[in-house]
Amino acid sequence: MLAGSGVSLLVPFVGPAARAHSAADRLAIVALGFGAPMVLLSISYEVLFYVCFAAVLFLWLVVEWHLAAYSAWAPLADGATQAPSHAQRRQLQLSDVRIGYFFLFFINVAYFGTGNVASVASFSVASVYRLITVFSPFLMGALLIVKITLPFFFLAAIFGILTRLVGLPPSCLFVLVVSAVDIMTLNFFFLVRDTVRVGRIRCRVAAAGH
Amino acid sequence: MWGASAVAWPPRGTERCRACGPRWQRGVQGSWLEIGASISHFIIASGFIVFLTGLFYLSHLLVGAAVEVPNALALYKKRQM
Repeated sequence: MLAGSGVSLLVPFVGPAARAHSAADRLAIVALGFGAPMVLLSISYEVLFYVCFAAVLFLWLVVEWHLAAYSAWAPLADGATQAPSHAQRRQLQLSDVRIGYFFLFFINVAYFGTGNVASVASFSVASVYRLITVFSPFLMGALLIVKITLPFFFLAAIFGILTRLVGLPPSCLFVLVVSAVDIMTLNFFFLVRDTVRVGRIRCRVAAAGH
Repeated sequence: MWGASAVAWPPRGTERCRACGPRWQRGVQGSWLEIGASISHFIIASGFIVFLTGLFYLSHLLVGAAVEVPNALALYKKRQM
C-alpha cells in the first residue's frame, strides 16, 4: 500500500504528462499530483485547506501577471512609441519586494494551515492508518512530514512560474526573499545572549560555603 | 545536605531570604532558558534559509526550464490587438 502510494506520488511527475510545456498545464499537474497523497494522508478538512490554498496561490499568480503586464504597458500610455526592450528579461524593481513579501506570507499560511508544523510531535496517528497499520513511529513521522510539506511544494512551483512570468531571471526573486530572511536571521543573531547574571545562584553558592 | 551540620541552616535561611529579594536583585535576566531560547531562534531562522534553498531547487525540478511561460509582454500585445 505504501509502495503504491509512493508510485502514485511519482507518476504525475515522471509520466508522459510531465512533458507538458504550458505553464498552466504544468501547474495543474503539480497541484493534482500533490493532491493525491494529500487526500490519502488526510482525515477530514485538510484537503479543503489544500484546495483553497492552491486556488489562492493561482489567483496570486494571475494578479501578479496582470500587474506585470500593466507595468510593461504603462510607458506606452505616456507616449512611448514601443514597449521597453527589457520587458523580456528585466531587472529587479522596488515592486518586486511585494512578491517576495507575499511569498513569505504564503509560507506562513502553509506553515499554520493544516495544523502547526511545530506540533508534529503531537500528531494524530489516524491520518496515516490508510497507508500503514503497524505502529512504527519513524515511518509515520516521515509520512506526516510529507503531508505537512505538500503545500510548500506547490507554493514553490507557483513561485518558480511567477518568477519567470514577470520576466525575471530564475533565481532573482529567490535571492530577494533569502536576503530578507537573512536580515531576520541577523536580527536573531544579535539577540543571542551568552551571559548569565548569577544573582540567585551566587547566593546559594555562598550559603553552601558556610 | 541537611544532615551535614545542623548549625548551617540559619545562614542558609538568611541567604535564601536574600535570594527572594526585590525583582531587580534577582538574577531573572539572562537565565539559561533565555540563552537556549535565543540560540534556538537563531538556529531556526538559519534552518529556514536552508529550507528555502530546498524549495528553490524543488521549484526547478517541478517547473523545469522546458516549461514555456507566457511573458507579461505577450499579455500586453494581446491587449493591444
